[in-house]
Amino acid sequence: MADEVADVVIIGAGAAGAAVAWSLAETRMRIVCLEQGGWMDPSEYPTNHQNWEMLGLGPFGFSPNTRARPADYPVNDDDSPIKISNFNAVGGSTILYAAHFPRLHPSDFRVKALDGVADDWPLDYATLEPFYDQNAEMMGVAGLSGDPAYPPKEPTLPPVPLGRLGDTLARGFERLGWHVWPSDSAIATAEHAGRAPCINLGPCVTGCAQGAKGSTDVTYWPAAVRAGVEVRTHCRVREITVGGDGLADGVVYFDAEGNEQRQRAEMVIVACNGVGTPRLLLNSASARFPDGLANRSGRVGRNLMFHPYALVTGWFPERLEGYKGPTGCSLISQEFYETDPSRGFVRGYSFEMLRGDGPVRTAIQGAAGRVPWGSAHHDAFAERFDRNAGMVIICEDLPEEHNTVTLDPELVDGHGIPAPRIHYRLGENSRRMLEHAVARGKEVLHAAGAIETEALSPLPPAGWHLMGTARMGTDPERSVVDAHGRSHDVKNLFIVDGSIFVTSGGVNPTNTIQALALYVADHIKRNLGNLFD
Amino acid sequence: MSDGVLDAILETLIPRSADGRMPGAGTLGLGPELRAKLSDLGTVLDDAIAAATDAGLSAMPPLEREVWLRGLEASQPGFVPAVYLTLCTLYYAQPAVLSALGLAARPPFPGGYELEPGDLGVFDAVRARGPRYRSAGD
Repeated sequence: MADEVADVVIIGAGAAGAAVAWSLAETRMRIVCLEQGGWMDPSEYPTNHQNWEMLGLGPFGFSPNTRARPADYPVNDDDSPIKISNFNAVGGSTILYAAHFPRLHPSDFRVKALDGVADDWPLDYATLEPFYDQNAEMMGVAGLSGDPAYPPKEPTLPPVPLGRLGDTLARGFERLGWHVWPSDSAIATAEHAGRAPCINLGPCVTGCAQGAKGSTDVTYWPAAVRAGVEVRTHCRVREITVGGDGLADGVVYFDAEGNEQRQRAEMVIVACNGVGTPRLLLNSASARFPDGLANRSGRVGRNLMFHPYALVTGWFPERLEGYKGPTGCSLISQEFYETDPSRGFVRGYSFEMLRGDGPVRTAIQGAAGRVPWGSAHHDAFAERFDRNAGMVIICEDLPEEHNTVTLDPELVDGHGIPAPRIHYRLGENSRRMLEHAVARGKEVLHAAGAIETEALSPLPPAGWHLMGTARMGTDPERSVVDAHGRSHDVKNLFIVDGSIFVTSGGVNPTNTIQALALYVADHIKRNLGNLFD
Repeated sequence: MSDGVLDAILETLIPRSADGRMPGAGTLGLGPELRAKLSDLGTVLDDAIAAATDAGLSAMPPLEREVWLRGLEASQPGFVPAVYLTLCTLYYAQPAVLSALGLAARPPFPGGYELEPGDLGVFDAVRARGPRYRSAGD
């Protein structure tokens, strides 16, 4: 192993790593993917168990700092109102994501030209469109054609069922004359590519026991492995090394037994997402790259974008059967997505409607006094159980250089590798947008029949979209990678994850992350003969 | 330490419902599991049980028990909420409770749930209002 040179090393087996590995596999190149987590066992997911609600708060919780699985590394996010959420495994964060799968809009690629803020991407929606389509087929995207919020696109599968809850919420939007549409969801609503269809278990965000949710361990990876890609699990990369010619020549990593290993490679592709990628590049500093690998621009780790989230909940007089169905996927509203300066902010947001709480979560609202103990308990519980529905609000986050991922001077992971430190401040544009969005969210819930609403804004654990920290661009002074994901500074180094985003849009990034990965892989395949000239 | 008294405390926190549909938490044998989950409270739980024993909680009628427990809550803020919240996580995962709520008394998988597709006709009006995305000159 120590002397073998791989054609390609991919670091990270999540959303992007899987897509790029699958796409490149047809070249028959020797491809090795190093992943610090392991293959998941669906029988361990909480929905296999009677106490599924509480299991979802422990080993399948959002934060690596409290979850502390062996594959987790600590993140110092004390200096951020939004806390990091990620997951390390074959499948990466797609193991825990809600599978909400919208695309960016054409305007999201032209923010500077259209709205005078941020920057424009070095590519556009039309360029990415065929890769969105390709990704839809591989992941299995459920939806409804004809959404007027997008250029025409065809879902692969029928939409996720709305149920009584979805019907109730949709009527609220219709009463106001607002946009609403069934969510594009990476959920197999019918048998697809050998995967069984969704059976409406509820909490997709603690892993899908059915295998219907499109996590990459059940979509891209089986095909990539059959095509010859090697996945080495429990292998944590410490650094990417560079040879005397200025090209990346491989990685140093800790194997499953904790021994240091070296894998040499002709090409290195980084797919560690918006916190993991800058962390790795900064930890790969050398004499040639004293400020971190591929960081002559100084932009590695800068321009961190989350999506500032708010949660708005409504309580309804009737039971909604909200414990059934994919928890984060039913309806999306993009009524306020495109910029309207009269609102007092630029850019916009999405409403993504949520299903309701199970009985345990309903009961522990007692912490806020809503379901008291004692003689009043059952009446209060009955007024609330299965009567809540709501939304998360996903706000576009503008890139700001002072929002960063750096290396913590003291905190390290289990292998002694410096941990990432987050510095993030909510921008004024985001604050105004959240305020507007919360008010509109309450308005539509009341229009749907809610008798009581409440909001939490910003939502602290919502650091699950991690973007911008190795941004794309045509100017090597102001960006880390070019329009094809290649480092400006290292010709055989590519980045394919959310860190290359120029702007965040107001939608979940996974579909776009994967479309970009496929696009970069396509470029690599088309130019293999002279890729490093 | 008498788990009979602990059961009386649990029954006070979540009593049998007036219509008899919902079981009382003191009748479900949750004491041992609750003790295990609250082990980090040290002697606080046992001290409370001892106080309840001394007060004759088990022999009190329900409303009197509730008054006594509210007194304990006032004198030891945090204790009753900790016990109550932990009890909720156990109570509402019990098959008897789930059945009483009209839910399937089983894990979600592999049975899953049926869900109606919903009224897709409501989106006709949205579609009819025409495109709403901005052109970017692509």
